[in-house]
Formats: sequence, C-alpha cells, structure tokens
Amino acid sequence: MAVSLLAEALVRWQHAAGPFWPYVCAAPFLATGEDGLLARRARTDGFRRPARHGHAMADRLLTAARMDDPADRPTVLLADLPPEPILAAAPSLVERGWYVVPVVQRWIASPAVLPCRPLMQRLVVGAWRARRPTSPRGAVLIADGERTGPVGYPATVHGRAFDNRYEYQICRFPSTDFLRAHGVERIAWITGGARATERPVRPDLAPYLEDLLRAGLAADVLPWPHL
Amino acid sequence: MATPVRVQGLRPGVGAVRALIEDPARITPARYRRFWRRAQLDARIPDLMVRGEPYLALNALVLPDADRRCLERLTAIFSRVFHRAGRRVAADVATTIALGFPWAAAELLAREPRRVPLIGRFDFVQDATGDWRLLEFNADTPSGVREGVVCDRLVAELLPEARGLVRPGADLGPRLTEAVLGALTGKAASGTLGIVTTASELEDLSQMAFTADLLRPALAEHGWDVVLGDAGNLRLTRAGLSLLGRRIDALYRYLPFEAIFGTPTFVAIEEAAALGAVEILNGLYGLLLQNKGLIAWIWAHRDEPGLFDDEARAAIAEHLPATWPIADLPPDRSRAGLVAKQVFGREGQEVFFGEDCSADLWSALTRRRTYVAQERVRVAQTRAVVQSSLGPELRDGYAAVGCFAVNGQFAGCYTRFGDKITTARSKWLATFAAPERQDG
Repeated sequence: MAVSLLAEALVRWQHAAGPFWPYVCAAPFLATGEDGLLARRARTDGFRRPARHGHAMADRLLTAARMDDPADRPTVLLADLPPEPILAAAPSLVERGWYVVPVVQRWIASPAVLPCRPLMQRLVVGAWRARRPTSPRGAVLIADGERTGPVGYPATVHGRAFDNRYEYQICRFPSTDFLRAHGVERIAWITGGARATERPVRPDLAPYLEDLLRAGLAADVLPWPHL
Repeated sequence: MATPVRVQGLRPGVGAVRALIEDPARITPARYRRFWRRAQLDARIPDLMVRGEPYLALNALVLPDADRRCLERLTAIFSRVFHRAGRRVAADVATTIALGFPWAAAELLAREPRRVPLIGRFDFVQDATGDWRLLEFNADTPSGVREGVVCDRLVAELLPEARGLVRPGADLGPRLTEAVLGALTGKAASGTLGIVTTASELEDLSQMAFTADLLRPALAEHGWDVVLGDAGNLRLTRAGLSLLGRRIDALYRYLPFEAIFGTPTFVAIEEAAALGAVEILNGLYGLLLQNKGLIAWIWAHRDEPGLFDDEARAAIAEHLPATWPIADLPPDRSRAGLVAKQVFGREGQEVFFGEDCSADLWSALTRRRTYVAQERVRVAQTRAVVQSSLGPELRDGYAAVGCFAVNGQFAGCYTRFGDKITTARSKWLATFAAPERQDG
C-alpha cells in the first residue's frame, strides 16, 4: 500500500511538472518497507493540518529572483534552499504561472542523517495538491538545499543512522538543449549556502552553472535574503 | 605459435544485428512516459538522466539466434580463461604489482580464495566482419542488473515489435539470486548479508537497493536477511563487522576497491575477513580479473596449452583483440590502429584512441606504465532510435553488448549504444534475440 501511494504521488508531481516532468527526481518516492510506512504516516499527519498556499514564501522567492513581471520570457528558477518551505509554496507558485519541479534526491530512511519525515509530508501531501499552471511562464526547480547535512555534522556516522547526505550530479538538471528548445534564455539561481565554499553556488552544482554560461544562457546567481 | 582451432558454435550468424525500432514515430511521448515510470518504480531507477538527457531508450538490439548462441558460449569460455589466468597471476605478487596493484593489496590478493565471480560482465562488440570481439571484463562491481532484469521485460511488454523475440536475460534475476544463496548457505545456515555502497551516489545506491530487494525474499526463506548501507556505516566491532549497527556475516561490496584502498572502510573489511568474521562475496580477485593488464597477460600466454585448452585458445585468437602492456608494444604497431586503456579504468574513463592522440600524449601514456594498448576494433555501425530530452531520434552509433556471467555461465545482457567509446553518456538498449527458426 505504501509503495502505491508513493508511486501515485510521483506520477502526480510528474504530471504537474508539464514538459519538465523527467526532472522530478523519483528517489524519495521509491522508499519501501518500513521507510515506505514513514511516507504513509507523513501523508496522514499532513492532511490533518489545514492547507496553506504559501503566498508569503512564493512572494519572497519571486522577489528574490526578480521575477515579478509576468511578461518576462520563459524562465527557470533554481531554488537551492531547504525544500520543505518551497514545496509548501507550490500552490501559490502554480497560481502565478510556474511549473513546480521537485528535484529532491534525498534517500528515505529511518533513522537517517538527513531527516525524512517533514520532507515526505510535503512531497506526499503536496502531490495531491499539485497542478499545472494555466498560463505557464516558466519552472521552479526545487533542489535540496539541505543535502550536505547540518554544519559541523561529523563526516563519519556512528550508530544506526543511514548516511543519506549527498551531492548532485549535474545529470539531474535540464540540459541546455532542453532549456533552449523550451525558449528558456534566463535562469535565476537562488542559493542559501552559508559557507564560504558554497558561494556563489554550491560546489556540486558549479559545473551546471558553467554549462549554462557556456551555452550562452543568462544565469543570475542571487542571494536568499535572510529575514 | 600454435594454429588457432576453430570451435563450432563460435561463429556468428548470417543475419544482421539490428535495432528493433528504426522509426522515431513509433515511440510516442505517452508510450515513452509509460516506460519511464515503470522503469522508475519497478526497477527503482530514480536517476534516468545523464547530463540532463534520458539514458534509457525504449528500443532493443536484436541478435540473430546464432549470435546469441555465440555470445553465450564466449561468455562461458572467457569466464574459464580469465579464471585460469587469474589463479596463476594472483599467486604471483610481483606480477600483480606490475599490473598496478599496491604492494599491500597484492599481498592480500595472494592470500584470498580465488573463485569465479558470482557476477561479472563481459563487454563485446561486433566488428565490421560480423565477429564478436571482447573488449573488457567487468568483474569487480558490474552494473546493469536492474536494467537486465526489469527494463528488458518492460521493453518487451511495451513494444508490439518485440513479439516473437526471446529475452536472453529472462532468468538473470533468479540466476543471480540462486548464486548468492549458494555462496551464503554454503557457509552458514542463517545470517545477515550486508550490501555496502556509496550512498551519496544515487546511481550506485539505487542499483544496490534494487539488488537488495531482488535477493531479500529468497534469502529470507533460508534464514538470511539483507541490510543495505553506506561505506561510512560499516564498523569493525568485537562482535565482527557491523553495518548500520547490525552484525553482518557476509558482505557484497559495491564500492570500487581502488577508491577505498587504505581507508577505514577497507581496513575494517580486510581485518574482519582475516579474522574469519565475515565472508566477502567479491574480494580483490574480481578487481584482478577486471584489470586490463590481465588481458595483456592472457594475450601474451595465449598459446600455452598447459594453461588454456583448445577451445579457450581458439576463443582468444579469434575474439580477443591483441593487447600489450603499452611499453611492450611490438615495433611494427602504429598507434593509429590502437586504443590505450588505463588498467583500472572504468566506464570508458581513461581510454584514448591512438588516432586521436598526439605523439606527446601517447609517449606520456607509455611513460605512466599503467596503460595497455589494445588493437582497435572497427565496430559495426547500427542505426537505432534513442531518446533525447527533445524526443525520440534516429541515430547511427555503436553497440556494446555486455554479457552477464553468473558463476561463470551466461545469464543475460546489458547493451549500450553510443559513440566509439562506451561511456556513461551512451544510451541503454534492451537485448533480444530472434528465435532459431527466423535465422535465414
């Protein structure tokens, strides 16, 4: 039962992502056994809470990305931030014309270094609220800004916690051919990386930024304003 | 030099190897999306992209039946060839050091049990004359099992064109399970198998998650559990080796040895093995069999009747491209007809076509002494529909057919289609074979 619930959630996100559907990462939706039950509980808990549209977060994100003009050409916004708040803002982003594409590669396990339950709650509950925009103006790619784990967490994990920290391969993100074919000429890239080595973008995604620039696409790396 | 012996059954058929689909219109967006989703969910493949481009093609390479039989026989014969060569070389520390093994690894290898790998993969290409040539043996941590077990089946189910064709790898899953079960239950009545990988590499992690799921039901029936963890979750304790806090009795390592050599993970594995606290299912011996220097060694010893039987010598002579340590090249060999390969290289890394190398680069590779030079195979070109992020496309390319050997016997295929070097950017194709009666 848990697997089919997750499978349906994945398909719903893919459907809502429109032409960006192949870039919805399936990793969190492949949990099985006890880890799959975690997702089922997450869904139950999530539906008990009132639905929020995340207008404030969507405002903040689009302002940070300097994308408040609906007349802009198709654009991609890559949000390399903690994923749950951005996922919560998905309904509002869709209302404003954005495909929402979770590119979260976190492996679901319990116990684990990166917590899974809040993320699964957002992904599973969000799947049933995911829609396509009626007048698309671009896509928000939600990367997992917490993928390297908490600052200061030891490199080696003791005990039973599954070490699910990771880095992205740039394979995970749309190719420049794909972006051009969909009329995308500008990428707004918002990163919340606080460490000096994570500026302007996190090291694992730096080759992707290089690819975009090499292909002649405009990429604006923008800070995430701390409130 | 002994005259090569022609062995019946080692000649490919008269029919041509072909792609199942050559019309891009056959791969509609809806059909490809169905395939994609089922691959994600049934094979647990979360990451179907290579540099933002789809990796799986909803298509297949179709082998004439005689070619399938040829590859099956070659797989079994070359399993024997590599095992015989490996047993001879593993005992000789000086030779393994010459093949690039650090001294400590060479010493450990000399003490290790030498058994045919539970699973390995021979990568063959078909040359322009129709002969199959062996390029390398992935004996350490071969990939592609989930594609061979699940994706081949999905392509057969989703494409009407596949009706009437056979899947050479239809039994890959059960055969692998049976082999692992045999290795485990031969040692203990019950226990826990640990599968260790690099969890931060999604591709590796998901491959092993699939393998763990594949093995779990059959192993459970025999009192064995399976636990999957990251290398960082592995510990040597007083009770033995533990993974995620669970004591493990056997270990399958999906980590390149050369990447962990000298690390705490490596030390923990080797100490536990030396104490008899854990059974290593794939030790250093597989890395030796995979080392391309061993191919050069086999080529140098190809005429030794005491080492290889007639059938093996015939297979080497006809199906293994001539290979030498790069520093020992015969003087009449020009680099234009050669390919330089790093002895431990994986996935097409550190492969250089002589025709693309400057004299300086070739000299630099020669000085490194960790390369072999292999006669270049002029691979037959194939035309196939593959998937790009913009849709299906008809492309000309080269197919490399990986043949899985489980306990030394053919068990299935893993075909990739791409440029002249098979790399991670190549596209996957299913592998089918025509039934015997359709072979002209």
